[in-house]
Amino acid sequence: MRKMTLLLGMLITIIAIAAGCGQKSGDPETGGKPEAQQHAEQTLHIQAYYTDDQILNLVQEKKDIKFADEKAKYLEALKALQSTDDAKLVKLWQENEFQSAILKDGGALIIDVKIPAEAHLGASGEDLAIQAVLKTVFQFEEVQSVDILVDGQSVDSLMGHVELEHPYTRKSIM
Amino acid sequence: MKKIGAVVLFCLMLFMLPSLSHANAGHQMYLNGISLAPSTEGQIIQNSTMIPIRVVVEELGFQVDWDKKTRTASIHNDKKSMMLAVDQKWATVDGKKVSLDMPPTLISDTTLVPLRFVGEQMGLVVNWENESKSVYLFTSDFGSEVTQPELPTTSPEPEQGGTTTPKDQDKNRNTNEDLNEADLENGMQVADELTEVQTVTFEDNRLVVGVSKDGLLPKSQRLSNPDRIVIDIPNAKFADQFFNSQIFGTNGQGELQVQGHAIVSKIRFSLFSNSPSTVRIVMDIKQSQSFSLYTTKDPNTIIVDLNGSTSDTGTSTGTGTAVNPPQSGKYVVVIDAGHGGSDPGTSSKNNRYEKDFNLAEALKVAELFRNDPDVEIILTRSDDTYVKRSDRVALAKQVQANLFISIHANSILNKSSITGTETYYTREDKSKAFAQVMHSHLIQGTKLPDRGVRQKSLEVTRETDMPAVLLEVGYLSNQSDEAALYTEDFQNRVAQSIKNGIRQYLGLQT
Repeated sequence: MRKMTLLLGMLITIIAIAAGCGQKSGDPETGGKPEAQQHAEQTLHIQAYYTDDQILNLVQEKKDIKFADEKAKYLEALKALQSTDDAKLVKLWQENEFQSAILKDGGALIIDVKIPAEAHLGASGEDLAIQAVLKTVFQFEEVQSVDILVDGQSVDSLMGHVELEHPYTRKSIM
Repeated sequence: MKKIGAVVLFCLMLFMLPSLSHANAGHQMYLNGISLAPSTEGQIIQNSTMIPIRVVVEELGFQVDWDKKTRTASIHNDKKSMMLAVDQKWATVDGKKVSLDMPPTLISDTTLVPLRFVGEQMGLVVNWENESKSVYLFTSDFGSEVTQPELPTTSPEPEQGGTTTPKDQDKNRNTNEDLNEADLENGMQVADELTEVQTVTFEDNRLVVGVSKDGLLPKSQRLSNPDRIVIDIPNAKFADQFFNSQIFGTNGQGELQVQGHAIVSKIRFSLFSNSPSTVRIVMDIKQSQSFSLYTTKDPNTIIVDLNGSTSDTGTSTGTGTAVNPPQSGKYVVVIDAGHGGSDPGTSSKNNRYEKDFNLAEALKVAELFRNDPDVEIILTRSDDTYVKRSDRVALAKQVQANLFISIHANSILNKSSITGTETYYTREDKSKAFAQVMHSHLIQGTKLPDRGVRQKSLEVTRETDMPAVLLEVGYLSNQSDEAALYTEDFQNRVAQSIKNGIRQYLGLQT
């Protein structure tokens, strides 16, 4: 009897989770597709941010990003931080993954990242990595605040040295 | 899908069964964990548990005078008195009128009175245990003593699916809310704005209680026979999620076993009183122990710290745990091994964790100072546990540390050629000179390239108020740095250099 109840309880939980997941992954896709097909690909010049080999200061570099759907530009801009042709620059985000960057009402940009354990930076690197993200996305005037999540979770720190603000505002980069 | 729907429906019906079958049945009652006679079963009338007035006398031990004419019961003990009349929706407590949700009632020649109201007004703690439909009563002197009340052998624990299903928990909560609402109508409890106790943990000789608010005024007392430390948090209750977790037994008491600790054996907590709602936490200790009680903001916690004690109790983890406060004449230096537990910090190509290096190095520093006549070391962690950065800062402030040193290792995966030692500080006025002294010694210890003293806004060096530095000893992403960092020889040299830096900055002989 007890086992049965437990089993049923688990079933319900699984159904609930499954239902939740379905919704989550469905939204952006269905929302994005139709528009994307209508727009032609655009190219935008942005500043991307890296650091020097002292890992002490941010260094900016012009990059072109391409996107068909306006909504995708934030993610494309962030992905620009992961590569550079300049061998002297150090990439702060190369080993990490930007999973999504979605602009909500009121200019709130929600960025979801995945950070593998081995890609954790030291104190200075972590601080610069956060600054690089903020400077990159605040180039877009419509972005008023930025919330950085790790695997969808609001955590207190990316790598354990610098506390995250939830969310950052434009004041954060002044 | 249809099938699943049927299963779910069946499932829901199952959950409803026990409550149906108990709807009008009597309820087992326990006083201080001891089962009361079966004849004392209460019954629920309109959400209130009612008990025969004779039970109040015979089992709860209060004095009752019954006035036949006015059908009024006056109940009293040496502290309080109250009067209730049959079918009258208010009672008089110590001369004041208090409204009742459910008035006393007469059923087949037996006068029934509302248990919760009478119990609480007379100073008992009344806990309703929904799963077994039982009422647990505690006298106020009992909460600090106690042992789990003995559950009856016929406890219906398994049948109802226990706490394993979320649905069932919801049902519990609803019933509890019903009871609370009854309380509210009785004007006995202000349910809003209660502080929620969210977590209770014990690490590094500190009891850390996560709460939903700051600015609390918890009360503490040290009791003996047996030795224990008792903390009362007024206007507080347990967060639902916490209360429904495995930590809590069926009697509404939570318990945390502390394994292999020299002083603390276990930690118990329960809702000690309903009016006002008070959470009591008891630390059972093996010997008398001094402690300090303080709170932190963001995150909001209440901390009972055994570290500041003057008696050296020699805990198993050893170094740094028994520390004299500054007034003892020694300088206090906090050594903070970065990361730990669920936060491994960075890791190397050979899968070595930064947290392990940080801890090994911190322990070596503490060991070097073990018999130092001038300096006491306090460690923020002495094993592989996660300590919030804010708690590290709070600890340093609490012990009024003279210096704060955080030990870390660095990494930059896509530039593995980068190698060397860096020292960070945040507050120029307090920490820059200290950082320079520490760095000059540190690079002699590491024998790695000098990458300089740097200023960065890092939580532990910014939020502390004493001179504070964060040492990035070497790069785990660099092959030769990594190889060096995990050798005894390197760690010993670095520990010695940190000791030399500390003593020089304090103006002591090195």
